[in-house]
This record gives sequence, structure tokens and C-alpha cells, in this order.
Amino acid sequence: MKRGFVGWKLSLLPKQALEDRRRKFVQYIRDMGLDCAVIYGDVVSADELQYLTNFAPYWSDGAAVITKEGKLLIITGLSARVNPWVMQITGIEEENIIAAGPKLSAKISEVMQKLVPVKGKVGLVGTCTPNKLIKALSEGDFQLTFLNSAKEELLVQRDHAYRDIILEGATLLNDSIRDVFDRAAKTPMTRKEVAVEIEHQCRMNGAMDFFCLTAGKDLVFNQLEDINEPGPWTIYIQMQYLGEWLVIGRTLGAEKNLPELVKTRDYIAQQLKPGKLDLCCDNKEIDVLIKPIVASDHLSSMIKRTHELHVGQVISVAVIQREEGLYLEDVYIITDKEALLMTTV
Amino acid sequence: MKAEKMNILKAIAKEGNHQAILVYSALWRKENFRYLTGENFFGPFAMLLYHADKEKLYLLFSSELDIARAEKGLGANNELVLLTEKLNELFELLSKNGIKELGVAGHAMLPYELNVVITQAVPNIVSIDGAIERHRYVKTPEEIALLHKAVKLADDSFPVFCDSVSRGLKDYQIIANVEKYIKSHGGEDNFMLVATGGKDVRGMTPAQGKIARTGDMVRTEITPCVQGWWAQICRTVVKGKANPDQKKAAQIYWEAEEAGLNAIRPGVNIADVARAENDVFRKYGYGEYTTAKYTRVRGHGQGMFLDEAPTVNEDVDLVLEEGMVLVVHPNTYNPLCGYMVLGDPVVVTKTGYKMLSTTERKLFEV
Repeated sequence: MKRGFVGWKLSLLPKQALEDRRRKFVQYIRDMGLDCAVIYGDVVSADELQYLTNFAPYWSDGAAVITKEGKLLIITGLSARVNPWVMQITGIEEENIIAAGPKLSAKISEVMQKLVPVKGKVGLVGTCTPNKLIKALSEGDFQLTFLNSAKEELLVQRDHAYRDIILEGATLLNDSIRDVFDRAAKTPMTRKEVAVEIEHQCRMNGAMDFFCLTAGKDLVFNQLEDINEPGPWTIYIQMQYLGEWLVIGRTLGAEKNLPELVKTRDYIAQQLKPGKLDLCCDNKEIDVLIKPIVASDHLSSMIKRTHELHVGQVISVAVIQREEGLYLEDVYIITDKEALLMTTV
Repeated sequence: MKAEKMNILKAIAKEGNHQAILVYSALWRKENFRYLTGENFFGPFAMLLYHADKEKLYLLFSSELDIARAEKGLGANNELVLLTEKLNELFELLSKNGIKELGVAGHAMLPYELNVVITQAVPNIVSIDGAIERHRYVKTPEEIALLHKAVKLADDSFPVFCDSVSRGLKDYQIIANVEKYIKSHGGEDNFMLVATGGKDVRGMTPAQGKIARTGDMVRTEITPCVQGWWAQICRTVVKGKANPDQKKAAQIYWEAEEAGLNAIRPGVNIADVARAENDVFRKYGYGEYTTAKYTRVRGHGQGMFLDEAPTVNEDVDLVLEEGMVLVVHPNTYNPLCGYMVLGDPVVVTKTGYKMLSTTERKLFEV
């Protein structure tokens, strides 16, 4: 959960960059023939909402309403007492922030009545958009369209500000992991201790959220395992920094077998270039899994496969040798010439 | 799945004459799924399908990692289903079982795409939101023991909080230290808010990088989770010495909490617990600050959701029963010193309540 630093670093995300993101999105909803869009997010899954407003609920849920004229409202499932914080992290004036508490869906519908004509066309964004919101909007007599393409439209080819945040977040994550791995090499630590120490380092340095699983050779992942056994074990981490997610997977205790897998990972990485994705991996015992967006739902089995890469895209690549219990997962930024490794541990 | 949990499903199916029951839990609202199945999950959601006619149970996951873990503990007569991009597995499962009528728990929270698939597969869908929650109100001795462990972690980590405030750490660093303690000592998670400042603080917010100055109050809700069970204590700490207004406010909050606690016993309506707390504020002329403009709730349940039902408010109509666990917290803004918190979890006993926390109930100075 988002109990770390939840703020707005203007040096990384200038106000102009946020406005440019929304301008692009307004054009998208106009192209779709919509009157407005509702972008929904909850405390766990709010990637599109975060990207467009820098607001993500630290608790409960919330939404943004953006009209085809570019008007923006934020409606939160929180109390009005935290409106000053919402203003602070979004730059939006208080008159455009509406606190709805537990009546979020009804309030969104009520607000929309004033913004959108009768039978108006409303696009819905957010994979977790709940039934109660859809019901409230349907009763408000709007024509609803679920914008399946919005996630890719918004989150595949992102801007420089996003990549700058990812770079800074990756440095934080890499440094934290390196430090703890170095300590663990000197003094044996359990899987849990390693996980807890890395989380502590990341949070002390400003991570917004942190999620960690570990697994033994069977690659069956679990939380906080108080185990210190010889043989390979894997740590999987998702860390959120200033709203954006990074992911890394590393197997430890497999010094003999791991270099081969690293070689395979690097061979795969050499093939990651803008354009159609046509991967070649000679070793049939190795699974390669590429995810086109690094976001809150990274562990989902419902993520679409990637067939094409774009300049500026941030992707994750997992290479897995199940027989040996080896797992590497990394984040890359696709440039016009190559894939730059962000997770350098 | 434990027999007592299966019996809950059977009872709900029988009561509503449902052919099948689907329980949906989102990642941030795991409670119903976890309560019934005992399984944790890390994918975006998990579901349970109970076919009442066949007495068959299916666990549906949205992550390969969850399936792999669940396979290890698979019970008899259970099947695991992994959902992929187009959710065909769900459609086929509902169709092949010939389900014509389905009671859905978590219906209000169902995401759009899931709802479309379910609606296509099943002609008659009925929301049973609230049905499982009612069974969760009264806790078993085993559940109370887990909640007690969570409370102990909150108590034991509070000195870490005080030490971190006194050392002048940023709010998110204070949280990092408390969380490290909790996870190192058996907690699986922790929900924690910190609000730093003076009269300007009107409510709890996430960490913003603030450092307490001398005279500032740092308010916190520490809510550790042990095996899925969340319990909370709320305390306020002053950096340095408390001023007369802070002390005066602290006395009112202590009296309000005490009044709320003393109202607790089986047969009492939860509204009267809230009223007892609020009457203290009214007595001192601060009744306005018990309204929704300044506060959310006067306490709430403790359980598998960190903001478990029922809420303790004057407009809630629910009679307390032995075995319920709730946190009583008269947290609100006051003009003397800004937002202040004080709260403790209790279990309702035959004759009153048993306090689960041990942290001293006072305004701390560090």
C-alpha cells in the first residue's frame, strides 16, 4: 500500500508535462467521439489516473473526470479534509476537487449530470472500474464506452518525465539491493531479512510503495519467508517511486548456473529494438516473458502479449529456467537503437 | 477450505436459494476471499465459485504465482482456474456447470470486463453483498488470537515510532522504521498514516516528507497485519513538551475514548458507543468537531479488512455481540491543537470489553 512518500517532484514532473499528457488524452477522447472520460483508480491500481493527474488514492479509491473541452475534476473517495494534500500533489485548484467519501460512484454521476449533455457519451478508463460506478452512470442516462485501448494509448509510449522518474527510481532500487546483497554476502541472512532490509532501504529513501516475494528452487513465490537454506532462491520486487513502478527479479545462491542465464538475458536484450518483436532464444529450457508496461498489475495473468516495441517504451523482461529454479526479471527503456537496462544489480 | 467456512457458503446459498455463489475480491479488498479460503493472493483479484448443487468449489486466480502457491495447499473437491486475457476460462466454467442463477458477493466492486463475461454466461445474477460480512462480525477465539498478535506488534513498534520522531526523521522514514520492526517480528503488512504539524493539520494524510519541529504533534495510526488480520492503535506524540492546549485536548480525547469503552457490552447499540464518545466533546463545547466535516468515524471493526465494518457512528444501527472486535477512536480535528488521535482495540466480552492493547493511553512527549 502507498504508505511511503507520496508527493510531487516538480524537477522530474514539471506542471507542463502533466498538462501535455492531459492535452494528448483530450485529443484521444475527441477522436473517440466522446463527451468526456472517467478515469478510475483504487489504492492498488491507479496507473492511468496517476499518469494524467499525479493523484492516486493513498486509501480507498478516486477518479478524474476530463471533458472533451479539457475541463478536469478530481473526485476522491476520501474526506474533504485531505483536499489540500490533493491540491498539493496535482496542482489542481480546490474548487475542482470533490471529496465524496464512500459515495464516490453516486457523486461522479451527480457531477457528470452538470458536465455532460443528456445521453452524453462517456468513456471509462481503469481496469478496476467497478460495477457500482457503471451502475450509477447508467442510471444517470449516459452512453458508456469502456476504453480498452486507453491503457496502451497512455502507458506504452510515455514522455520524458516518466522516464526521468523511472531512472531516479531505478537508481534508488539498485543501490538499496546492492547494499543489502553485499551485507548478506558477509553475514548470512534469511530470505525474510533480505526482503525486509531492501524494503527498509527503499522506503527510507522515498519509495512510495514496495512489494516483495521470495521463492526457493521450485519458484513458488511467497511473502516474508523466514528461510535460510543453501541452494538457489529468488527475490521478486515491485517498487513504486513517485507513482511509477519498477520491477526486478534475482536468483541468489546459484553462482554456477546464473552466468549462463545472464548471457541469455543479454542476448534477448540485444534483440529489443523499436519495431516488430521477433525474439530468438536458442535454449528451449528457458522461458522468456516480456511485458509491455510496468504497472501495478504486473503479476496479472491477463496482460496482453507484446508484438511491437516503440522508442521510449519501458518494458520488463523475465528469463526463467524452471528446472534449475533460476529467475531474472529486469526493466529496459527502448531507445531508437537499443534496450537500456535500468535494473543493473 | 475449513468446514466452518464451507458451512457459511452453504447457509448463504440455502437462505437465498442460490444455485451457485461467486465471491469476488480485489487486491485491496481481499477479505472475503481470504476469510473463506484461507488463501492469500497477489494478482489483481481472486474469486471463489461455489456450486451449491454439486457442492463443488473452484478457486479462480489472476496470476500464475497465485496458482502455483495454491496448488501446494489444494483441498479435496477443489479446482484451481487461472484466468487469462479474455477471461474465457470464467465463461466456460459458468457455462459448463449450467449455472442459471448466481449470487455474487463483491458485486458492487466487480470490474467492468469481469461483469460482462459473467452477465453473458449467467442469465440471472443477484448481488449478495454484505452476506459474508455479517458472518465476519463475530470472531472465533482463533481469530481473536491473531488480532491480538497484530495489536501486540502495534504496541511493540510504538517505541520505534517515538524514537524515530525524536530523532527528527521525515514522516516516510518514521513509517519505514516502524514497518521494518513489524515485518521483522511476524507481521505481513502494515497500514500506517502519519500527520505532522500543528493546528493546520485537519486529517490524516500519506507521508509527504515532513519533519516535526519542536512543539509539533505527530499523529499516527499503526495497523499491523498478521496472517490477514489487521488491528490498530492510534496515538499522538508531541516533539518536545506539550503546550497547555495540547494537554487540554488530550484530556478530552482520553475521556471520550474512556466513555466509548465503558459503553461497550453485548446488547448495546454501536450508535450508543459513538454517542458516548461524542457527548464528551459536546460537554466541553466541541460538539461541532464530531461531525462529518471534521471526522470520519468514532471507531470501526477489526478483522480481515483494515477498515472493517461496522463503523462506530451515531447513525449506525447494530447491536454489539460477544466476540466482536473493534477499535474505539474519537479521532477528530479540534481548534485547540489540530487533528488528534487516540484509539485502542477491544474485544466485546460477556460483561463488557477486554482491551487488547497495552500502550499507555496518554499524549506522549518525545
